[in-house]
Amino acid sequence: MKLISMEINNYRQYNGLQKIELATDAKKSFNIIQGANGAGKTNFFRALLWCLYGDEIGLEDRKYREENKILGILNEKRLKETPSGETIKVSIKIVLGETQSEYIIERFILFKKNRNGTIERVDSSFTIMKREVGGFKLIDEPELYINRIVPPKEIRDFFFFDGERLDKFFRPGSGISIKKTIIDVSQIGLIEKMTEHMEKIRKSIMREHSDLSPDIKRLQEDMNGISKTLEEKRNISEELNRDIQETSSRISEIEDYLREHPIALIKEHQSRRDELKRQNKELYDSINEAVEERNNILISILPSVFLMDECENLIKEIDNIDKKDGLPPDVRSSFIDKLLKNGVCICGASLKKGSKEELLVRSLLGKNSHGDNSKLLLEGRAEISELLKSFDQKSERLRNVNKRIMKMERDLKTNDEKLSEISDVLKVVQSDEEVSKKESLKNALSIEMQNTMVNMRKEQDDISFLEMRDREMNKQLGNLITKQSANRELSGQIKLLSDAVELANYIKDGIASEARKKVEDKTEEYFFNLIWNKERFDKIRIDDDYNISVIDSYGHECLGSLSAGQRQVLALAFMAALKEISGFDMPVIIDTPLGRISGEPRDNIAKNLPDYLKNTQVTLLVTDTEYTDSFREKLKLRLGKEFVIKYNKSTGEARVDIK
Amino acid sequence: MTSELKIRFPRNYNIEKSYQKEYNELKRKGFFKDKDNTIIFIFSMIFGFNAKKSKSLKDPYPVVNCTGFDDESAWLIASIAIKEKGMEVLNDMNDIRKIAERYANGGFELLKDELDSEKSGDMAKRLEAKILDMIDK
Repeated sequence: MKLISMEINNYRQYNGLQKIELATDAKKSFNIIQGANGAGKTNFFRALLWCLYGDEIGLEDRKYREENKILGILNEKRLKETPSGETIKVSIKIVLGETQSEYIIERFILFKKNRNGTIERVDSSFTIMKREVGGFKLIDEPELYINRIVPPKEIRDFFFFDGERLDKFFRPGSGISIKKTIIDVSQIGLIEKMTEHMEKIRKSIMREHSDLSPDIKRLQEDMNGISKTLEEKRNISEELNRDIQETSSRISEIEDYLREHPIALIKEHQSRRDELKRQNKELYDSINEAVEERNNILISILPSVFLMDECENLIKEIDNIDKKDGLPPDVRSSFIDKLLKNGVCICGASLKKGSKEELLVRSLLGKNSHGDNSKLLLEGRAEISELLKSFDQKSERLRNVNKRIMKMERDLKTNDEKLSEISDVLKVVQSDEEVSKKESLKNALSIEMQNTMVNMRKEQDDISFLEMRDREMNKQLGNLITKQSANRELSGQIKLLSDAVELANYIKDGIASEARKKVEDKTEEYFFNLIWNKERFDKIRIDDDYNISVIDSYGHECLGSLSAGQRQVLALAFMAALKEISGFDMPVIIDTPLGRISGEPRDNIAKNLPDYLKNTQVTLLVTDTEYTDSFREKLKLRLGKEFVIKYNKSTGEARVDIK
Repeated sequence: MTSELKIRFPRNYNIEKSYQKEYNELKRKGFFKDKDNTIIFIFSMIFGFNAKKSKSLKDPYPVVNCTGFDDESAWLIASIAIKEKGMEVLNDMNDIRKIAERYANGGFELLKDELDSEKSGDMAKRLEAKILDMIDK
């Protein structure tokens, strides 16, 4: 679907009715709307969102509006010129379709200028007209119907987005959760809501039957206590997480500042620090893996080492039996028992009680008291002998792992010392006082962040434990109610709901995992389409925990040390991947796509931008400084139409014209 | 091939019911993170046996299924019982279980003490030093 045209009427700085018709040609699907800062690009962007969603992005906060002197959506000049007692219509009309218009979507508010100068809202409306055989038909309940046409609010940011925000997307501490984003876009939220709803019903059924027994009542009280603690801990954890994100973002800003510092030596120190931090991250991961390996070896070797005497004793005992009776024995006890019971020997002789023959056969029974355990004894000797034999091999492995851990710990220590040296140098930079101030601040922030992280880990450990307890108790409660309730219907309801919740979780995990993989593949594809120095990178990964990594050509993770331009490319690629998996065929509109990028990286992004979202109509709202001649030249092949927003400072009015 | 000993073992091994939560707690982090109850049980038994601390269970609670033991662990359980009661104990698997449960019960507190982070260094390092020392001897 494409944005065919947009009419904007008396909205903010757009006085009167203005209409723009965008390029929809599949081959030339880029539209450029150019305007200086403050000319009205962002309000043009907001107008579109207001029409589709009824709200205004970035203007929800009243304090922000007041501070930035942003008044209502009504054009001020039009308001002044309108005589008292008359009405003014503010409206946006959007036409969507492929080759011809399919939908006409319009939102308006009618204001009345009262004689005392006040403004009153007298009418408002939101309508959708859909093309059908015989003409356009007005849709009933347009507020609901709109969700069939455009992406839901939660994911609209992947279709209509602010380029300046993109820069922050993959910066540490951005607070943007990759997991949440992927889950939102794949619309698993619906399953989550369903699961929550079923859980609520299940809990309410169980609550209603808490009087079945004191056990059930007690268990429910315990569960209520856990729920309360869980909620408190989740709030604390969220707050700590916010603090960490904020601090991490501030540290990252300082590092960006140092990375792009004009003094080469400072830049070099930061780059060296990036490399050491990358090495340390790898060392931490490898140490953790080695420690786990060491623990596993210890777990397998410790019991037998501590029970060495008992193991040797066991083998000695079995050897004695073997020497005495032979293993396996010539005659099994159970066989002798059977002969004695039957009273007849295999040779046919009678084994009458007290007879010579009976006493002879009975003496064999005493001799082979372990006869029935022969298989067991042979197994025991083999197992324990193997165990004792494996000591050397296991202890050798233990020593080797230990050596590896010690070496890595030494490397880590050396790197930490180097990091500390770099910091000391930066703290006393004479030529730029700002650098030393920022470095000291960075150190203080790092300490603060580490402390907060320790607290958060503790809270998260508690949360996972409490969640596990809650699950266990829920199951226990369900079992108790089922057992104690004579009501089969009630038991059936609880079981059905438990099964349904389990199934919904299973489906949700499956979809989430598939969506994650698709986003990973598509992000990688778009990233390599857009990035200029492709040879530097190898792949993009999104792991099971939804951590995104950019792997460089040496196999190292390098997300943390990407330049601002590379980060922007990663964000553009990620956005395009998300758009694609969402299943919505909608145009993409980006406000200031290269807003935070300048110089060479901007040209580099521009060079490959035409390859971005090849089958999608893309509208870019660009500033004069963004839309350079070279950028334009590079877009030329896919450029459909160019518009310019002209802003008249004296009248405060903006006009969109074809360039 | 299934171990003959494990076939003969009683199905469930018990711990003190009040320890159930602590078993779960131990599996959350540190040395026993994500490990099975069987491993904590075996370690507790060894700690109890080494300290000669055998304690009857007041409120037995089954948390370990015998199929969870590997063959070596099953024979280590048996080796303790054989040391105590001789080879005849192999004819009474319930007795083997009881001996293991009592030592595991007596040793659980000792194991927790050993895991206590307040002690210097971590448990893995201390055990490792002890093991290498014992092997060298």
